Amino acid sequence: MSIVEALLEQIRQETRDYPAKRVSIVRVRIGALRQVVPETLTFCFTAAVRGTPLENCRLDIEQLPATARCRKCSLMFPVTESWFECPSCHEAGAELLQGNELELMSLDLT
Amino acid sequence: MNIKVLKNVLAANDQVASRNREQLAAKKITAINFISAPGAGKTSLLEKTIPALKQFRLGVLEGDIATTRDGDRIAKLGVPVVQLLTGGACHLEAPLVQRGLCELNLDALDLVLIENVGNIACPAEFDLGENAKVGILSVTEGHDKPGKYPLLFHEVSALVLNKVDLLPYTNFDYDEFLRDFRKLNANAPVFQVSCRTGQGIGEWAHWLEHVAEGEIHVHPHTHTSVEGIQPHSHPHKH
Repeated sequence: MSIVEALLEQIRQETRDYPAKRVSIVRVRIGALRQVVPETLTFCFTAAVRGTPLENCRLDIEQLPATARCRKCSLMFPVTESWFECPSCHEAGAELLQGNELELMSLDLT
Repeated sequence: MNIKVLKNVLAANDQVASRNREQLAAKKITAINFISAPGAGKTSLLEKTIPALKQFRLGVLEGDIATTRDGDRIAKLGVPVVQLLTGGACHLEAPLVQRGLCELNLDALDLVLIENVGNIACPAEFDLGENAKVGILSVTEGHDKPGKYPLLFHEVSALVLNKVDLLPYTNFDYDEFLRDFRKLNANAPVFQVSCRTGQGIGEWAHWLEHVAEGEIHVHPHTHTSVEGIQPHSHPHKH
C-alpha cells in the first residue's frame, strides 16, 4: 500500500500540468528481485483509486527478469535458484544488471 | 498523449533517505538499519550490543507499529532513544526516520542504531539513509529463509544468527543456510550469537565497532544511485 501511495503521488505530480486530461494507462515495471507482487499491487491500486479521478485508468505492469554478470568469467546469466553464483565457474557475488527496478515508466492521457 | 516518466516509484522516499544520509555524514555519524522477523531478537541484540559499545555515543531509533515497549527496554540502558510508531505500516520509511533524527541531539552522537519494524520483506525495500543494513535471523525460523527473502539477505552488510544456544534442539542446518546465504551475499560476515547466553556478542560488537570507526567499509545497497555521497571515514569523537 505504501508503494501504491508513492505511485499515486508520483502520478499526481507528473500530471499537474495537464489538469484537463484524464489518465487512461499507467505503465510500471518491476524487477524480479523486488518483492512486489503484481496482483497485490493491482489490488491495492484499484482500492486506492476508487472514487478518485484515476478510478478507471488501467495499470500495466511489466515484469523484468533478474540478470547478473559474473565478476570472474563475465558470463551473463539469469538470476534463478543459484542467485548470484555463476552457473559456469561458481564464483559468488555476481553483479546485478537488471531485476531491482520499481519504476513508473509512462502515462497515457486522454 | 503519452508522458514518459521513467522514475523510481519510491523516489520521494529515496530523496529523504539521501538527505538523512547527508545529514548523518555531516555529523560523522554511522547509522545501522537492523532488520529481522518479529521475535528474532532485534531489541535483545541491541540490549546486548549497547553495553559492549561504551566507547561510542549511541542513539537508538526504535521502529514499531504500536506501543513503546521496545523503546522503554532500550531507555533502561541510559541511551537516548526515540520511539517511531508507524501506525500500521509494516516497515520504516525515510521521512519517519528523518523526524526521529530531529529528536536526537546529533552533535552528541557517533552511532545511530535503527531498529526496523519486525518483518523481513518490506523493510528491505525502503532506504532510510543508513550506512548499512544488518539482518538478524534466529535459528528457530529455519535455515531456508535466505532463498525465501532474497532481497534482504542480498543487501545486508552483516548477518547475525541469533538463538544459536537452541541449535541442538532444532533441525536448523547451518551448512545449508550458509551455502544459500553465500549464493545471495558473497561477503557479509555471519555472527553466531545467543542474546540469552551472551555467546558471540563480543565478536559481533567488535565488527560494529570497526564499522563505526570506518575501518570496515560497508555499503548501504540503495536501489537508486546516490550521487555525491561517499561513505565517510570516522574519526573518533569522545
